[in-house]
Amino acid sequence: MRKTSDQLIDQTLTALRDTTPPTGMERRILHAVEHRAATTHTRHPWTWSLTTAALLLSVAAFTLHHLTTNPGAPGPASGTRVSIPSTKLALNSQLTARSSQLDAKPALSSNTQTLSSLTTSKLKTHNSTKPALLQPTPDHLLCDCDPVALAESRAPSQPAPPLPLTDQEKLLRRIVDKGDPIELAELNAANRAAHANADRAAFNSFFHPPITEPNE
Amino acid sequence: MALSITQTTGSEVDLASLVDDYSPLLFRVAHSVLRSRPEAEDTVQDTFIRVLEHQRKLPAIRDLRVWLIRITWNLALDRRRRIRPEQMDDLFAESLVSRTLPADQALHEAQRHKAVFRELERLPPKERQVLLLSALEELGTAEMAAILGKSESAVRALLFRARTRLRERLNQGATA
Repeated sequence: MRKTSDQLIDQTLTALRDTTPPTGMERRILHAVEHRAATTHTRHPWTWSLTTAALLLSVAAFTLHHLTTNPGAPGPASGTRVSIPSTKLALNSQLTARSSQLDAKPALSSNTQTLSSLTTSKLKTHNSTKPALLQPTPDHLLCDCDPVALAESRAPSQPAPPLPLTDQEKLLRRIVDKGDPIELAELNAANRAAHANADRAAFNSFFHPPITEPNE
Repeated sequence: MALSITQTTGSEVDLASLVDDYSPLLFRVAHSVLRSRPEAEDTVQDTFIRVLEHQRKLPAIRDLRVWLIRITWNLALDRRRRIRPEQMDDLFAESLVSRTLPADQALHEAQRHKAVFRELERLPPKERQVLLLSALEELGTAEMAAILGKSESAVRALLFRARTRLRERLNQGATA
């Protein structure tokens, strides 16, 4: 007789339920656990000493790395840098600084708005005739019975989304990301002027003005 | 070596008694996921090694049984990602067929059991897990909810959906 799907499912699940563990499983497990416990106990001093040594090594490596990469200290590789990567680094840092400046203004305003909304709601309950103040409220003015307001006032402000770069900044960023040394060098005004002068001199030397006779 | 674990009451629980009491249940839990006896036994062994490693946390555990099942369950799921479950399902499905059946009927029956396991694996993970846990009759809805980190009503709904979906898919396969 053909079984229905329900019967088949039940039979399969029953088979899973009625599975018996293999004989001697408990003994094997206990043996393995005892072996593991013994290994852990004998390994304990070595583990501690190895951990301590690794910790000390990592601290020493960190200190060494900090000393060698300290900007105040004269670094051995600082003088060997070529001009183009340093230009790229400088441009990158300028763009980063510009982005952070753009980010800082809206974050401050949003923080002020949050605090001002809290302050406004608090002041309205006490004195409805006073205007809302746009300055942070001290903690003692906030009632202890309102933990949500306290938590919100103490929460770190969320940074505002970054403002879009201008077209010039986008072009500058594209050049810096591309990293073409010729284009990077042309960003330097002195280099650009020197290049233009050289071009002009070459042009003039090739097409020098015709010598005309004074009587012609 | 004395394998004992100190509980909050100050009394000590012998790990050997824990193994005796819980290893058959934990074996069934692991076997329902893995469908392989050696792999299930290894999983139970790993569970008790975890207990040994985390014995300092034991005083904070409210329900030791659920905690052990949860460890076994997660270890079995991890282990299942490393093995090829289709091979295990084929072997287990063949072991479910009665040996008294004629060869052609036995083959057909084994194929139907394989189809159940195949469709079981195609279920959404949460539904599959609830269905497998429900196969262990020792577990109530509250315990299943604690193991899976869900509410009891969610577990009941998942169980109903799993059962319905599995039945529909098997019927579709039978008519196709």
